Amino acid sequence: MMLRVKDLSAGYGSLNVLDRVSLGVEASEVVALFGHNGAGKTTLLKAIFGLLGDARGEVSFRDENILNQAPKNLTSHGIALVPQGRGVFANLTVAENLRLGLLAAGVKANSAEGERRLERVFQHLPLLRERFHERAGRLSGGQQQMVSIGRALVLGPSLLLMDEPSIGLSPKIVQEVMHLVRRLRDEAGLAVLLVEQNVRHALKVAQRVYVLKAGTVILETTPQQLSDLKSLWDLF
Amino acid sequence: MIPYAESLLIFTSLAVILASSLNLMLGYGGMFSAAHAVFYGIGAYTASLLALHVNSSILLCVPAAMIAGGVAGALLAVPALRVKEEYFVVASLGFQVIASTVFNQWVAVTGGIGGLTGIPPASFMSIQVDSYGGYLVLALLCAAGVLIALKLLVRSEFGRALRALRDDEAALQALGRDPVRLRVATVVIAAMLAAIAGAIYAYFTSFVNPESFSLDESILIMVMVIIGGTGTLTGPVLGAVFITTFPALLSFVQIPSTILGPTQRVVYGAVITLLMIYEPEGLLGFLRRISRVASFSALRRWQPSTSSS
Repeated sequence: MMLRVKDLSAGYGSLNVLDRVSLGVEASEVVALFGHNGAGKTTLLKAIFGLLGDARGEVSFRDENILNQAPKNLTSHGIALVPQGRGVFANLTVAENLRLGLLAAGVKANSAEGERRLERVFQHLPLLRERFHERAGRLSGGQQQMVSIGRALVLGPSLLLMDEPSIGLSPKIVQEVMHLVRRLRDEAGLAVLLVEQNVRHALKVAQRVYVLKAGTVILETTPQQLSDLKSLWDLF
Repeated sequence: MIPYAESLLIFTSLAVILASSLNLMLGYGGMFSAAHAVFYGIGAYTASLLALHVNSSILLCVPAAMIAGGVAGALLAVPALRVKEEYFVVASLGFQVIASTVFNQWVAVTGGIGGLTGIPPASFMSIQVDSYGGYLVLALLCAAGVLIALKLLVRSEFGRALRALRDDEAALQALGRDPVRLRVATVVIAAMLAAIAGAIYAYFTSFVNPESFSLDESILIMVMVIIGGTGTLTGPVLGAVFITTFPALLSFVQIPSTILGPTQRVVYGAVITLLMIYEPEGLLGFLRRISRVASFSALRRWQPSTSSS
């Protein structure tokens, strides 16, 4: 198990959101995490990524304890987060957005390693090369999502945490994002923990599914077993 | 007349330093501070005390003022930036009130309301700065130095991270950056630069008292930044020049001396209000618009659009 979460409880101050959540992600596996607004999906990603500071339980990555580690250490371990709401730096160019990613990985943008990483990202996201010097804020929503994903990819992660990448995008673009997730797994061997509201699209790429309700995992299953989607809706 | 013009230019240069350094926090870092005069004051008091009791060398007093200003900046930023951003301005207001009280009441060190007098003139190696012209050169050099430093800083990786922070804090966190640390560093740098203006002020006037570093002054510096246009290097310079020279210009208008003061203030307030209503991007936005109208607006419009989306 690449990422193992066991009995993780976390929240904001005195407000407890997650109650002993356990889940895992294997190497090169796409795992979808579903749940209503407020079920604790984003909180779970934040807790794994060390943004809450006082989570309790166990989180390990490649058998190393990473509970409450600073995000800086996690990125250097090979975990990258694509935050909710795209989160591009709108006033910076695409190039500057990616450059900040490289810098976070401790790689100089104009070094051979920097070029190599950019090249690898362009392979998956050719759009970023075309719009390299454009201000990110001028791109469409789908393009901004690609910038956000590209910025996470230059970190050279082996596990990608994605927080609702399809939010606010047209069905066609959502499909593109999901294709990209699949390609990243198949071609680059990336593992992805995919938080989604868009169940139908996410089920097409995920190998396993967890459903979160009121801060606890109420179901772990595979998309095959979920062929009858109605039962999933009942759970919600 | 010449000394008057020179002293006006000296105060303008100091205002440029203060507005530009506050703009690093406000325009680039998105932190509204109503305490910038505190760092100006800390710089002035530190330089004064050293000049009075140790040595009036610029090489001693200015760096010491900057360090003291930086420490004061950290004192504000470290606790205040733990709370949500909107509360920062309130915390800074509290900081200003506390600092004003200290300036007024710690008589043994600051001289209280009477202030510190007889501050010796600035010296550099064996040169004594003792003329208006000398201080003008010194003030202009400092202002230029601060502007160059800010330009380099904004273009650096630090500046890029700061602009990114203003755009999306969560995304910057996702890259492993600590937003609080970045903001604290910004406040400390801005405070250090403001302290330089304080040191020059103390040398030039040879007198410092709490009145010059009050909440009124802090607000005035904030107004300079907003009037000029935030988030650019030119905006605060324009704002500082405007706010410092405008009252002086009004005094050339033929008005009976009995109502001169109130008239100045009313016109001044009206101009600021109108500018904010009709030109929210400040003087810089206003100038840009004028230059657009004046110069080849048709030609510029003709340029093929680069965004084909």
